[in-house]
Amino acid sequence: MIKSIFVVDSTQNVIAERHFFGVIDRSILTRFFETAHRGEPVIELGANYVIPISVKDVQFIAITDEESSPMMVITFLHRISGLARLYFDDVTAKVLKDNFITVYQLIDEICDGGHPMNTEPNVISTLVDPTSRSAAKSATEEIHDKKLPTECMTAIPWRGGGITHSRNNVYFDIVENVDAVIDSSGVSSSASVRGHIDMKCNLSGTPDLLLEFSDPSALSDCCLHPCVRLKRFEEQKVVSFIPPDGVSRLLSYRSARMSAAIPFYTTPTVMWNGKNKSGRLKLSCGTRGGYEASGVTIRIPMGEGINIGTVDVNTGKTAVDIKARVLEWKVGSVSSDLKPELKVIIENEEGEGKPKQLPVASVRFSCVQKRSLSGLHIRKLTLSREKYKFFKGVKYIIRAGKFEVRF
Amino acid sequence: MFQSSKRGEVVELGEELQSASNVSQRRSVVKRIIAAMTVGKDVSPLFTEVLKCIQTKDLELKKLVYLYIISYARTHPEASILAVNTFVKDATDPDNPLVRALAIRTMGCLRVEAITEYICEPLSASFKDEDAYVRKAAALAVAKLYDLDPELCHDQGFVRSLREMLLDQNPAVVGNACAALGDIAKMSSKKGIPGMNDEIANHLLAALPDANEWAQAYILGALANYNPTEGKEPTVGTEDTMLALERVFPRLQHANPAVSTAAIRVIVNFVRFIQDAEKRESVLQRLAPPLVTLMSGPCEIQYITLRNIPLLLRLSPNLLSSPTRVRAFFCKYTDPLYVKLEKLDVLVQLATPETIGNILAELKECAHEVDVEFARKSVRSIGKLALRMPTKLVPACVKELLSLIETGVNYVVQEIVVVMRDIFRVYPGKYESVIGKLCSHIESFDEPNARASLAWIVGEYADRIDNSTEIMEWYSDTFVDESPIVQLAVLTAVVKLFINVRDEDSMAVTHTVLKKATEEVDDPDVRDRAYLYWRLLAASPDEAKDIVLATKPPISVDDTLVDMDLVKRLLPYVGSLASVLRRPPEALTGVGKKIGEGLEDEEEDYLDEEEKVEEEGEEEGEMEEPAKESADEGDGDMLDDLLEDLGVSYDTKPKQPTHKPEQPPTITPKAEPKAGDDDLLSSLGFQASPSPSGHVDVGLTSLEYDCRLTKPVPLTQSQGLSIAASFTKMSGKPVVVFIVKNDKQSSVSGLAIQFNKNAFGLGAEKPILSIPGGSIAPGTTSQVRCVLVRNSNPSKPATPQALMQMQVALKTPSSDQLIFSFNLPAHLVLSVYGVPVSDFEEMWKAMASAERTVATPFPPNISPVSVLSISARFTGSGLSKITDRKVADVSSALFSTHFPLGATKVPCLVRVDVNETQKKIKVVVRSRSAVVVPHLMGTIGLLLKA
Repeated sequence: MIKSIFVVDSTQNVIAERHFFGVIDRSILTRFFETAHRGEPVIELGANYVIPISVKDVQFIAITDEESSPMMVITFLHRISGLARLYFDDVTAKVLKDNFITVYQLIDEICDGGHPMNTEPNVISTLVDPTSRSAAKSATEEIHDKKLPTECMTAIPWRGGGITHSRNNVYFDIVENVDAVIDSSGVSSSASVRGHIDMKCNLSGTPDLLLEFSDPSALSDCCLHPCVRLKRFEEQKVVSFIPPDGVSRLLSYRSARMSAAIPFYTTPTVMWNGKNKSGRLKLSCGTRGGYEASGVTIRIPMGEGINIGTVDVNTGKTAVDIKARVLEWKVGSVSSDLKPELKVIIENEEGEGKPKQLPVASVRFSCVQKRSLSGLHIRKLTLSREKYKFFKGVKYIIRAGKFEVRF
Repeated sequence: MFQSSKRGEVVELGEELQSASNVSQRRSVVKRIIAAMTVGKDVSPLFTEVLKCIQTKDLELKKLVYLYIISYARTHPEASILAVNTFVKDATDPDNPLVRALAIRTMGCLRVEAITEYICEPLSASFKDEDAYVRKAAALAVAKLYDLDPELCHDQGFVRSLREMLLDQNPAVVGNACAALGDIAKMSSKKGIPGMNDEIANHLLAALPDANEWAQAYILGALANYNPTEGKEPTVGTEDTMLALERVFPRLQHANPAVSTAAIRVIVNFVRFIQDAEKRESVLQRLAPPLVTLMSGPCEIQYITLRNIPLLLRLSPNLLSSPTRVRAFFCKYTDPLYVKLEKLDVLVQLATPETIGNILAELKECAHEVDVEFARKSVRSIGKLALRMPTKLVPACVKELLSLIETGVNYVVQEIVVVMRDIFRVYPGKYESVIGKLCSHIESFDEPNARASLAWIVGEYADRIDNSTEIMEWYSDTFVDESPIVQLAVLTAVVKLFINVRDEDSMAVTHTVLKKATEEVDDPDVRDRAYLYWRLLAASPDEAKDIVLATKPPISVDDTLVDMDLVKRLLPYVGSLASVLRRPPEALTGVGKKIGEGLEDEEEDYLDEEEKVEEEGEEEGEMEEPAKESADEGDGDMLDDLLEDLGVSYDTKPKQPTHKPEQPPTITPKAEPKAGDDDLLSSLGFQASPSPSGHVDVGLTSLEYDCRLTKPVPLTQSQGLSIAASFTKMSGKPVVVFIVKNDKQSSVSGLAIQFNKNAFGLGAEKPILSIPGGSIAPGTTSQVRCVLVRNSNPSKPATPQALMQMQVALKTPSSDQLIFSFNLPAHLVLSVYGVPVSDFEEMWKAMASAERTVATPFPPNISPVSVLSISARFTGSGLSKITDRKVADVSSALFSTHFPLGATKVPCLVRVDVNETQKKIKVVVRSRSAVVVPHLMGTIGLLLKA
C-alpha cells in the first residue's frame, strides 16, 4: 500500500502531499532528488521505496516502506494525473497549484488507506465537483442531501446512470500503426501492426453493444477496456460490452499479418560520383490505391561523415541541422496525383571510399482508408437493452509507427 | 490563494465562516482555511468554527471539514478527540450510507491512539451494515487500526470479521477485505492470507469478473498464495488448479497493468501444481501476450515489465522469442535511458538463431546512439550474444563488432576490445583478423580496462602479431603511470611475449617492464607478481612456459541475473518491488517496522483464540505451527522436483535458525571503548539492552532512520555528570545523540557542547549546542541530538589510530570545560560505492595486503542469523551489498564502500561469511589503505551489535 503521495513541481517544491499513515517528512524528497539515478520508477531509499512518475513539469511521487505492487502504484499515479487533466484540461505545476484543494479532494476520493479505490472519471466527477463547472454552480444552486451515486457499487462503475443524448450515435476508429523497414528497392523487409480501436459513444440509457469482426484472427496480444466481457471475448472473439459514455479506448492489439499493401510508398536512391567524393540522394514518395496521406514528415539522419549540400524539393518544406547532420522534410499531404521528390547533394567528408554507413530515414504519415492493414474488419454492431435507432460510423486509419526507409 | 498573508486573515476567515449564509459560501471559506493551513498558517483558532460545519447534509462540505480535521490532527492530535463524537454520530447516520462510510473511513485516518476505543463500536456495527459501501470502508478501516494497535484488532475480533468478509456477496467488499488482510499479513510479516481454503478461493474467483479493476488486483493478490492442490489426490489437484486458472486467464487481457500483472503472478504460482509438463508449458505460453501489451504502456510500466521478464524467462525460456514479439523490445529513440538499458538486457536473453539477425541489427543501431553509456552497453550486449549463441552464429556477432570498429568512435572501440578479449577466451585461435584492427586504435585508448584487455590479447597472440614487441614497448614507456590492473596485464603479457617470441627485442622489453615493476611501482601486488615472474624466468623459462601458457579454465557468460538462488526466491513474487529491485523478498517486508515480539507468538495471535479451536476441530490443525511447517516442506519438495525439469527450483521457505545461540559476540571493535559495560550503562539509567528492534527512543520516528541507532557508548563521568553517546544516520547525515545524566543533588543548567576539529571536518550545525529545556533535574537524563555537517577543513589525525577520534568540550555552569573524546563509528561517514559483481574478485585480490579478519559465534541479538539479516543491519550505512552466494554450509555476502580519508575516498570491500554448522560469523575487511581497515572493522562490530 502507498504510505504517502507527493505532487512536486520542476523546482522540487511540493504542490500537494497526502499521508495515509504517519507523516513522512518532506526531507525524503530532498534525498530522493540527491540520489543519483536515471529516473527509474522504483528507487530504494533507506527503508523507503520511492515510486515517481513525471507528467510535463510535474512529478507524482508515491512512497511506501513495504512490498507493494509497483504496477498498481504507477498505474494509480497515472490515474491521478489523468483525472487532473480531465478536471483542469492540463497537468502543469501552475494549474495544479491553482487548484490544489481539488487535487487533495481527488486523491482523497480515489484512495483509502493507501489503496486505490474507484478511479472511474464518471463516478469521481459526481463526487468531486469539476472546478470548471463549480464556479457557475456555486453561485446559483446548493447541493442538498446528495445520495450515493448509483454507479458506485454496481457492476458497471464506468458508466453513470441517466445518460441521455438527443442524437444517439457511436463511432469507432480503427487505428493501425505500421512498424516496417523498407529496403532500398522499396520493398518492406519486415512489417507488423500495432493497432487499437477508439470509440466515441453517445448513446442514451444503458446500451449493451456487441461488436463482431469478419476475421478476428487478425487480433493477437489483445488488451481490453475493463467494460469488455473478457470471458466472452476469449471464447468467441466478439466484443460484448456496456460502453462508457464519451471517448475511450476499447481494445488494443498487435498483428503480424498484413492483408493489404501499405498505402504509402517511398523510393530511395543514392548515387555516388566516380570517386565517391560526393553523391546525390533522391527520395520520392506517394500513395497507393488513390488514398491521401496527411502529416507526412520524413527525417533523414545522414550519419557520421556525410555532409548535407544543396537540398531541392518540389513540395513541402525542409530543415537542415548541419551539426547533427539531420535533414527533415515536412511534406504535408500526399495524394496519388502529386509525386513529391527530394534531391540532396551529399558529400563524403573523408573524401575517398563509400561512407561506412548509409542513412536510414524515419517516416511519419497518417492515412484514412476503407479497410485496415491487418484485415481486421467490423462486420456487425448490435444493440440490446435499449430500443432506439442509432447511427454508427467506422473509420480505418493507418499511421506510421517505427517506419524506416533504408538507402 | 498563496500570496495573501494579511495579519488579520485568520480572523477574517473566521468572520466569513460565521456569516456565510449558504453551503457553497461555507465550502469556499473552508477551502481557503485548508489552503492557509497547508502553507503553514496557524488556523487553530478556527477549529471549533470549522467543526460546526460538519453538521451539514452537503457531502462536499462534510468531506472538506474531514480533510481539515485529518490535516489538523497531524499537528494537534488532542484536537481530534473533540471531533470524535461527530464521527461516531455520523457513523450511525440512519439515512445516508455515504455519510456512514465517510465517517468510518476518516476515523481510521486520524491515527491518534487515544481515540481508538471510540472507533471500536461503530466499526463493529459497520461490518453488518446493510450497505456494501459502508462494509467496504469498514474493511480498510481495520487495516488502518491494525497499524496503530494490532492487539485491539484481535481482541475485538476485527480480524475474524475481516476474514468473514471474504465471503461477502458484494465483490467490492471482497476486494477490500483482500486488500486489508494483505496489509495485515505484511504488518505481521506473514506470507499471504492465512486460513485460505477452497471455499474462500472459489468465492474469490467467482467475485473476480464483477469486481472493479483495483478490487480484481487485490483479489488476485490474495489468491497468489493459495494452493489448490492441498490435501488432494494429485490428479484432482491438477484438475482443480486448471479450473482455477481458467478463471484467472481472462484477467491477463485487462487494460489495467496492475490486474494483468497480478494475474501473471497467480499463474506463475499455480503452474507448479500442474503435473503434466506439456500442460504447464501451454499455461506459461499465455503469459506472452500480456507482457507484450505492457510494453506499449507508459515507460514506467515498461520498466517494471522489463525487470520482471528475465525472471519469467527462467521459467519458460522461449516465452517471447517469436520474431514479432521480439520486436516489442526494440529501442525507440523516445524511450528514456533506463528503459533502453533494460531492453538491451532482455534482447540478449531473447535471441534465438531465428531472431539473431534482427537483434544484431538493432544492437548495432543502438551502438551508434549518442548516449555513451547506452552505446557501450549495446556493444557489451553484442559480446554477450556472441558468448551465448551456438558456435556457428558467433561469426555474425563478430562481424557486427568489426563494422563498429570501422566507425572509429573511441569509446565504442574501447568497449569492443574488452568484449573481444572474452570472445578470444572462449574461442581461442579464431577471429584473429580483428586483432590488427584493434591494435591500430591503441593510441586512443584511455580506459584502464581497455588497455588491460588489449595487453592481454597481445600477450596471448604475441607470436602471431607482427608488431607485438613494438606494442609492448609502447606499454612499457607508460608502465609506471598505468593503473594496477593494466600493470598486471602488461606484466603477464610481456612474459608471454618473452616465452613465445624470444628474440632480443622482446627480451629487452620484458626486462624493462620487470625492472620498472619491481623498482618503481608502489602497488605490492604488481611488485610481487613481477618478482614471481622474474624468478620463474630466471630459474627455468620452459617451466615458466608451462605455467604461464597453461590451459585456462572456461569462463562463464555473465548473465544479468547470475544468482539462481535469488531467481528462485523472486519468482513467486513476480511483479513485486522485490523482483524489480532484485532483492530477496524477505528483505523488503518489515523493514523499519516495530514488530518486536517473537514471531512464534505472532503466529498464534494472528487468529483469535476461539477461531483457532474451531479450525483445529474442522481441519487437522491447519493453523498449528508444526503441522504447517511440515505441509510447507512437502510443498517445497514437490516444487523442487517439478521445477528441476524446468531448470528452476523454488526455495519456498526462508531458513530459520534451529537453535538459539548462547554465546554473546566476541567482536570487540577498537572503535568502541569499553564495550559491553552493561552494568555501567544501566547504572547510568540507560537502556542496557535496547528494545528488540534495536531502537532507542530519541524522539524520532522509525521511518527517519537510515540505519539503527547504536547502543549508547559511555564516554566520561566527572563532576557528577555522565555522558554517553549513540550514533545513527538521518537523511544520510551522521547524527550523534549525547545522553547527559545528572548525578548531582541539584539540577544543572547552562550546559553547552562544542566540537573540536577532526579528521573529517565534521561538526555540529551550530557552533555551540545547548541542552534542550535548559537544565537537567537531579537524577535524570537529557538528550542532545546533533546532526554532523562538514563545516571545517579536515585536520590531520595525530596517529592513524586517532583517525576516527572526535574531541568534544562540555561547558559546565562553573565554566570549566570537561573535554572528552570518542571514536566516531565509521558507518556514519562511509559513502556508497557500487562495484559490479564481475569486478569484485579482481579488486578483492588486489587488496589482499590490507586485510583484517574477525570470527565470532552467532550474536544473540540477531535472529535468525543469516546473510539477509546481517545485510539488513548494514542498510543505510554506506555499505552496499554486491551479491551473496552459498558454498556448502557457508553463505557469504559481499559489500563495498568508500571510506573518506582526507580529501580522497578509499575503496573498501567486506565479506561476511555465515557458517551454519559451526554457528560462526566471519567478517573479512580489505581496503586499498591499511589505515582504515581497523576502523571499518570496528564499525561493523557496532552495526552487528546495534
